[in-house]
This record gives sequence, structure tokens and C-alpha cells, in this order.
Amino acid sequence: MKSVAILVSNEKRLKLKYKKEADAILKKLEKYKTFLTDEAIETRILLTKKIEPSDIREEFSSFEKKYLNRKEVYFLIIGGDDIVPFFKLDNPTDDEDDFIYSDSPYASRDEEYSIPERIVGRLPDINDSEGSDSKFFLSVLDNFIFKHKLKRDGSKSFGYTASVWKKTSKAVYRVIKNGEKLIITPPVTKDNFEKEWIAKKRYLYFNLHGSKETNCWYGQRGFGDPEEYPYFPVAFIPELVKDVGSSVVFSEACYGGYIFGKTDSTAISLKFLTENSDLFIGSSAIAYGPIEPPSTEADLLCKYFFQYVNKGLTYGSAFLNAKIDFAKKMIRTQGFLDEDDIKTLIEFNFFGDPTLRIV
Amino acid sequence: MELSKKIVENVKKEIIKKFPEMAQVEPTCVSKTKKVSPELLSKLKVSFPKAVVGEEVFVLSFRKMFSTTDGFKITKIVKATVDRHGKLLKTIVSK
Repeated sequence: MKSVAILVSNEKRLKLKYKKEADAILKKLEKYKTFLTDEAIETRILLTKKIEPSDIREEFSSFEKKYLNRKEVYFLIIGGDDIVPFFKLDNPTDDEDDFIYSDSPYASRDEEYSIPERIVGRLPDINDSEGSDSKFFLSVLDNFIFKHKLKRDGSKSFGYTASVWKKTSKAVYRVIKNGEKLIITPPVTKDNFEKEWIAKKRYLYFNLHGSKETNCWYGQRGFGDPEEYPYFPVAFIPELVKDVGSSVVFSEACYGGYIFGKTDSTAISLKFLTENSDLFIGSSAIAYGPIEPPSTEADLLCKYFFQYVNKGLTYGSAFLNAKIDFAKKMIRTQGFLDEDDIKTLIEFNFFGDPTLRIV
Repeated sequence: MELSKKIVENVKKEIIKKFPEMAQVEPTCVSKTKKVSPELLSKLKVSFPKAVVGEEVFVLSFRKMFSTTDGFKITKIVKATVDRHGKLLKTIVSK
């Protein structure tokens, strides 16, 4: 039986936000449906009238029941927080985040939403203080509509790590296929970063610091580095994202996937989507990792994700399986999932089309 | 139960070895009980880890603010999880 993709959006909210241009967006949804159907993925459009995430999740469950015998059912949310809202989950751990923006409950049929059962991705639009920009959204939708026809660029991969985490990053990066040399910051910073390093690469891996206040990711000086190296240099900025082709991007940075009130010039994640990346996975909140191998937290989730992508699973299926394996591994190791493990599971969101895969 | 001062001091020493920048930081300490819901285990299709459930662990959090080269402030958080004997079980750091 064919896989099924369900494109989920909210017509009323699209019209409220984009006025006349909402029609162009709705036409793109129809076009997306046609293109996915051509790729042998039965596709349905679900235009929800619900506003509360928990009500929308109920609709997911009702819709899903029609397709229980299918190989895979993919939900692709079209729009950002003001079209189909994220869940705002309590922060399970002791840090500065008041709550976590998360799509995890959409991927779960019960209240144990840290463990996914459904494949869910999202193509967000933008919503900044200057208003709505339909150009961004139409361009991202166009990119994704044609992605199934695209030949994937390049076979090489790129990794970029804060110097202080080079050992832990190496443990992750070694599972990423055809990884070129891992770039370390410092000494590399935004000023001597070469754009060609990320051009037409298959996988892009970032293990840097982030903040929701800025549009930059940062490095950190490591043990034994020369004192003249800056302690927290600016390592990566949106302007460096060019010609990235159909790359799969995983960023472990704090707030690497924080898109709220942001645009493609103020969030690196959104810039990757406008520059035609296949996928961006990042955290909406403070993320954690170990200081030395073995991998835990964000490092472990990222490692498992790339392992499954390498096996040829769709990106959505790889993300689901990575979360399940992460939870199993932490229970085997610790006997339970601690609060930071649970936070890791719920804070990483998937921006892209979950039906895509590396061919 | 609270961790003894001696254990907290030993953990601080361990953390400062790896994070000298946390030398002047007083950690907060929170106790946690290892627990896992049967629903979660059933969802993951794993058996109940009886041996460890109910044990108490302690999470010591060290926080310090740093300036980036472009003038922003980033709070770095280091969390050390120890058992009641002070054995370091896990150390993680914010990204």
C-alpha cells in the first residue's frame, strides 16, 4: 500500500495573515499535492478550522484512522506558529526556558509525547514585527514542491564545532557519511569562514552555541587553545548560508530552531530553508550535550538521526526512529529518562518535508 | 535527603577541573527520584528497569554568564548528576 502524506494548514488563518495572497499559497498546496501524488505518495490536504493545538492533534488522530493499513503516514504542517500553532510545553528541566515550543505532541497519540509514533514535519512561514512576508513562504513552498524531482547535490558532508566540544563532535561526525575535515571555532570565525565549505554538501552538522537574542551561532575556546583565541567568537551568521543545495542540516545550538518573531535574516534555520536545504533540525530552547564522549542529549539524537538517514530511511522516519533509539539508550544506561533527556526529545523540531530521503 | 557539604565540595572540585571558569560559582542542588512511567516503557517496548527506579539522585547546576565577541551575553549552564554517595553519573553543558 502506498504511503500517505497529509498536508495540514489553516485556510482562515492564512487569509487573515496574507489577505489576497493567501489564494496563491492555497494553490501551492494543491500543486504540492499533485507533485507528491506523482511520486506515488497518496496525498490529502487537511485545512483545519481548529486553533488549539490539542484540538488539531485530535484531527490528526481522526484523519490517521483512515490510513492505518498504510506503510507510512506523514503529516506535513504548512505554516508557522500563527497558522498551525506549536504546542507550548512546560519546561521539564531546571533552566531559563519558561516553556518549550514543540511539535512533539502532534507526533504522539497519547500524553507520553516525548516518544513519537507519527511522522511530523513542518514548513514554517515567518512572522516578524514588520508583518507577514508571503514571498518567503511562496519561495519555500516552491523549493519543496520540486524537491522530489531534484537530484541530491554532492556526496560530501560538512561539520562545524566549537573547539571546546571537538572530541564530542568527532564522535557524532564519524557516523556522517563522507565527512570532510571537521572545522573548529576558534580559530575559524565568521570572518575567515569560507562559504564553499558548505556549498552543495549532503549533510551539514553544527555543534555551536546559540541564543534567541541574536542571529548568530558562536564558538568557544577549548582547553589548550592559545589564550589569544577569542572565548566566544561569532562563528556563523545567516549571510554565510549560500548555495547549500539540497542539504540535510542538524544544528545542536541552543535556540538553533527558534523561529518565533524571526525572519530568514534573523534566524539561520529559516535562511537554510530559503536557500533550498531539504531539512533543518534544531532546538527551540536551551539544548545540552556531554563534555566528552560517549554521546548523550543533543549529540546522541543527532548521531542516531544521521545513522538512519544513511540507511536510506525518509528524513521523517529517521527523526522518529532517532528519538525512539535515544529514549531506549538512555533508559538502558540510566534506568530512566531524566528531565534533560525529555527536554532534548521535545525541543528539537523538524523543518522540512518528512517524505524526502537521500537516494 | 540532602547532599553533605563534603560531597558538594568534591563535586565542585571535579567540575572546576573540567570547567575552570566555574571556579567562583556556587551550584544549586536539586534532588530527583529516578522514575519511569509504565506507559512510556510500554510505548518503547522495553522492560521495567526495577533495579534503579526509586533511587534518589542530585543535580548540581552551575551557571555563569559570558560575553560573546559581538557583545551579547550567553548563560553557560553545567549540570552534574550524582548519586547519594557523590558518584558523578552524568555531566552535561548547555550549547
